[in-house]
This record gives sequence, C-alpha cells and structure tokens, in this order.
Amino acid sequence: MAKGKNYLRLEFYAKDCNLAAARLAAAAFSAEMGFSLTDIEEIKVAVSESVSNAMIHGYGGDETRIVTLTLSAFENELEMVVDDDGIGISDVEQALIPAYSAAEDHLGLGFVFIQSFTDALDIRSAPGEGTSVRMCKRRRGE
Amino acid sequence: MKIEKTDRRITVMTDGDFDLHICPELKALLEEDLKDHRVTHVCFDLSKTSFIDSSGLGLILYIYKQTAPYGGKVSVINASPPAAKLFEMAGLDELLNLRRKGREKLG
Ligand SMILES: Nc1ncnc2c1ncn2[C@@H]1O[C@H](COP(=O)(O)OP(=O)(O)OP(=O)(O)O)[C@@H](O)[C@H]1O
Ligand SMILES: [Mg+2]
Repeated sequence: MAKGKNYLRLEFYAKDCNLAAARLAAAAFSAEMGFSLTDIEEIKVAVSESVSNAMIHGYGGDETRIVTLTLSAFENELEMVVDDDGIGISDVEQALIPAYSAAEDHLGLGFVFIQSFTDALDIRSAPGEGTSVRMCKRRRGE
Repeated sequence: MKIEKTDRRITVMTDGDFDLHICPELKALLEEDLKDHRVTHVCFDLSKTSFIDSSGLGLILYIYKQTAPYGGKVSVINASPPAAKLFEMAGLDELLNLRRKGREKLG
C-alpha cells in the first residue's frame, strides 16, 4: 500500500469524546503539509462528519467498536480514509442525496459538507460489511 | 458550556467544540428549559465556539423546531467565518437570524 510522503493511522473507540482527537490529528497532519488555515478548517469538518457518521450510523452508538482514520500525504494531496466495521450502507447514492438522512433529527448534510470541502469522495460499503469513506483534498499552489 | 436564563430568553454559549460530544447533554438541558413553552427566544452565542459541524447545526435546528410552533425565535450570533459558511451552505442563515463575529447583533 502506497503511504505517500507521510502516513498516520489512528485507531479509536467509537466514543464521541474521540472526535476532537481525530480532528486534531488531521489538522496537525495537514498543517505540516502546508495547507492554509481555511483548508484546515474544511479538513476538520470532513473528518468530523465522516467519523461522526461511523459512530452514529455505522455503530448505532456502540462505543466499544473501533473507528480508524488513516491519513496519507502525497506531493500535493491529502488522503483521508475513515473506516468502520458497522452496518454498512445499502444505497450509497441515496445516502449522498442532500438532506437525506436515515436518522431522526439529523439534517443529512454530512456528505454535502464533505463533498464541497474535498476534491474527491469515494464510499465503499455494503450492508453488514462496514463502510470505508475516502476523501482527498488537493493543496493549491502558493 | 454556559446557559444563561432570564424569564423568556435563554442564551447558550458553547465553548470549544460544538459537535456530537456535547449535543446529547445540551439537548437534554434545553428540552427541560423549553418544556413549559415560556421561553420565546433562544440565542446561541458562538463567540467561544472554535468548531461546529452538522451535529451542532442539527441541534440548533431541532431547538428551532421545538420553539417555532408557539412563536419562539432562535438566533445564532458571533459565528466565525468557517461556522457562518456552514450555516449558509445549509440554507439556515436567515431562518436562524445568523450574525457573524464582529457585527452588531440586531434584535
Ligand atoms: N459510516 C456509515 N455507516 C452506515 N451508514 C452511514 C454511514 N455514513 C453515512 N451513512 C448513511 O448516510 C446517510 C447520510 O449521511 P450524512 O452524514 O450526509 O447525513 P446524516 O448523518 O444523516 O445527517 P448529518 O450529517 O447532517 O447529521 C446517513 O443518514 C446514513 O444513513
Ligand atoms: Mg452525518
């Protein structure tokens, strides 16, 4: 597996207190790559949305399960992958529809924010087989 | 997190991260405060909020939906530029009377 110029993998319980740690890791990792402050704010939102989804939807709040965040730095691109081993998504196209949510009192905006703050989003999932969300963000020239 | 209450107005000041981690507790506290329908204005002051995502937005919209039926109003003040952007992308800036950091709050 190509890990690029830098690589960091964080494995944690699906406890919502770990969201801050996941965001901080991504912020520090992308700052080191030279991303702007605005980009770093967007990266934090993308990580927060995908990790929250794993905790809420993937694991239904079961805090004993494991979420992983994998960060890889390439020449001009950051790759972020969030994996869970939860219920999976049966219809990825539907999940991507703005304002669609499977859960009550959720806005269905997580993927909308991710899509506008990253350059590529790729979701691999099947019912019962967990979900892998891969997001890439390019670093713009100076 | 600080909640200030006067007779008909609640001001919520979340410090640090307004994410899934604080939402269940904050929701329970506010539901308790809102249940007798006396509060007509809930103001979320984000001046000390360094991060917000869809969980925070979802909670604020939920409070709006609780208070709107009896004429309540919800406002969001002192939003940082990244926070304001999310409210705009969600199309909630007008509904929630969004005011950015550094601007006079109205009403
Ligand atoms: N890791 C996951 N495992 C299972 N289902 C998921 C996962 N991530 C997303 N989904 C599904 O995709 C839907 C859309 O996700 P999205 O983040 O856009 O909205 P939401 O989480 O429902 O609401 P919000 O993010 O605004 O709180 C979810 O409602 C859920 O059904
Ligand atoms: Mg979500």
